[in-house]
Amino acid sequence: MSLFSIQGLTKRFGSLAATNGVSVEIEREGILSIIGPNGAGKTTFFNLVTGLLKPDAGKIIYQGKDITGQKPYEIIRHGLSRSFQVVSLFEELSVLDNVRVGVQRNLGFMNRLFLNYRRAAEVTERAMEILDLIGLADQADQPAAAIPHGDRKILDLGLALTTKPQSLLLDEPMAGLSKAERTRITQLIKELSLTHKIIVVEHDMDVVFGISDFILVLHHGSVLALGEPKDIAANEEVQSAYLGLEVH
Amino acid sequence: MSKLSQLHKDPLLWIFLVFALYPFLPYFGNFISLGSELLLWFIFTLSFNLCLGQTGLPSFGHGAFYGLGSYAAAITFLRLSDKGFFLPVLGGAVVGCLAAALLGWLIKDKRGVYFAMLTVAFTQVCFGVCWRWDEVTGGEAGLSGIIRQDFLGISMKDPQNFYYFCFVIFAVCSLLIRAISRSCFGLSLQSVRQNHLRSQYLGYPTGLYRFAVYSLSGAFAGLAGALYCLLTQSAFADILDWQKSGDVVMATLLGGGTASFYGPILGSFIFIVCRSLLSSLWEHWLFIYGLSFVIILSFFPTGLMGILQKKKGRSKSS
Ligand SMILES: Nc1ncnc2c1ncn2[C@@H]1O[C@H](COP(=O)(O)OP(=O)(O)O)[C@@H](O)[C@H]1O
Ligand SMILES: [Mg+2]
Repeated sequence: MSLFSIQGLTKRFGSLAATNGVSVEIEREGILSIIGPNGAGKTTFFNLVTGLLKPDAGKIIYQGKDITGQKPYEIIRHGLSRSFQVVSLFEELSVLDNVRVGVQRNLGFMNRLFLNYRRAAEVTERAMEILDLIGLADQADQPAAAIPHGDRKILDLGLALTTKPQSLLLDEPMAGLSKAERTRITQLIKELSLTHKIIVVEHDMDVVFGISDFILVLHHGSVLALGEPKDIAANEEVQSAYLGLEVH
Repeated sequence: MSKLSQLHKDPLLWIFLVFALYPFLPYFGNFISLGSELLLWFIFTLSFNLCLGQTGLPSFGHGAFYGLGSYAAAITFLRLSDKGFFLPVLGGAVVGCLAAALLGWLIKDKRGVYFAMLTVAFTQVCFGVCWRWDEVTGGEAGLSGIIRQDFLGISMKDPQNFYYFCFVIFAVCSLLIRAISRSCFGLSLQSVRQNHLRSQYLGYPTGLYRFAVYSLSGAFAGLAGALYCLLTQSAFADILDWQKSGDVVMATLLGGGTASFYGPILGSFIFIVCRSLLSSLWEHWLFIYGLSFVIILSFFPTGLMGILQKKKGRSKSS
């Protein structure tokens, strides 16, 4: 049984079909990259799969369960988590407290009325582990709004980890990052892929072809191709629609 | 203990100290029921700020729960045979909580200005009902004849004793509300305010949190309203007027409720003192109050506490 079974997924904004009858089976293991020109419907696809948008048609089956139309907070209980193309943080909270929000929910502390959240030792410990993993431990006390863009992008990814997901959907995790930061995130994604299913939207073709086990190409809201990197690279349709174009 | 030695830095402790001495302060000591009203307003605006400052809920009709709490206390007192002191206070909190739960459930997923307008509309409905329903609320005449009974053998007829009763309740409520705002639950509410979408993606059913905090806040507001009924020994529909709710919003914002837990206390103090003391000296005080509100909030959206915090931050970093 595949991890995701997506059948005829469709979402229209007015006359525009941002996702247009997408049907794919996604395997349990490895890294799947989603590529496609801007406006191809990659983010919309993530929004549908994670319950931010309700599809106009189609079904999303995750691990044999129909999760179509569920809310994000219901979806994450199945072990799905995501990061955001446009960084989505708790701007006024410190880096550590951002992570605490997710961790305290995961560990079941979120409704404790009289426990000072800074004194929930278990939460702090797990939150610091995550900050260590993503390399932001020394910025723990900075307000999220005050750290550099690259670190904010990484914190966004760190928040996605707080729910202890099995599958991670990463929407352009390296957009706007420096070369060094890209290398760092690529490394992190590789590490995470040992224990998580990774689905990543990315524009950097070196990264995409370097790390992916499978590549899904979207074009005008539809699936143009799905296959291993070498097949995608050789696919003529893909080449004319996308790879020939300069994206940046 | 480092905790004990830090105690003198706790603003609440200083607020408690000032208000414990209030009846003996020069000038202010002459206005003992003004002191009681201040304490009730502190509870009321702190409860309001659980919604606005903590969770981002613009409950601009929060006076509904204060007013209903006041009626609930009056009705409990007048209809119950034993004429106790405790049940009316409890009744106010329960009715405030239930009314807020009812409204909160209906509007928990409404955003921004729609939420605000629906709470104002709710207040207007409550006003209409209390203004018209003669048999229960006394209609336009309101309810009177409420007498403060002895409590634990202490005569509550004495304004000073009643003041200290309010003081104890204020102390308990402010400690409770502060503990809640700093708790894990309080952090959950913060996350809902700052980024409700991300909060949902971390597993929080944000609508339920908005509902929960609204009900909780309604209980404190209803309690404050019940004390107001005992203070004035009456209940009238005009406290349900939506303009009264506006006073709470203004006081909280001016004090800086979005920046600090203490903002509502500072703001209520300024508003109540201005209204009670300045208004007798000069009838156009509201004009100056309103103007200062506009000026301060335009330049410092986080209010007076926001200004204070910025100053403190600057002196620390320099
Ligand atoms: N909420 C929305 N309302 C209207 N149109 C939208 C909305 N979200 C996305 N779109 C449109 O859908 C198309 C796909 O967008 P998106 O999924 O963000 O593409 P990608 O992530 O591949 O760049 C674009 O043409 C975009 O303008
Ligand atoms: Mg996108």
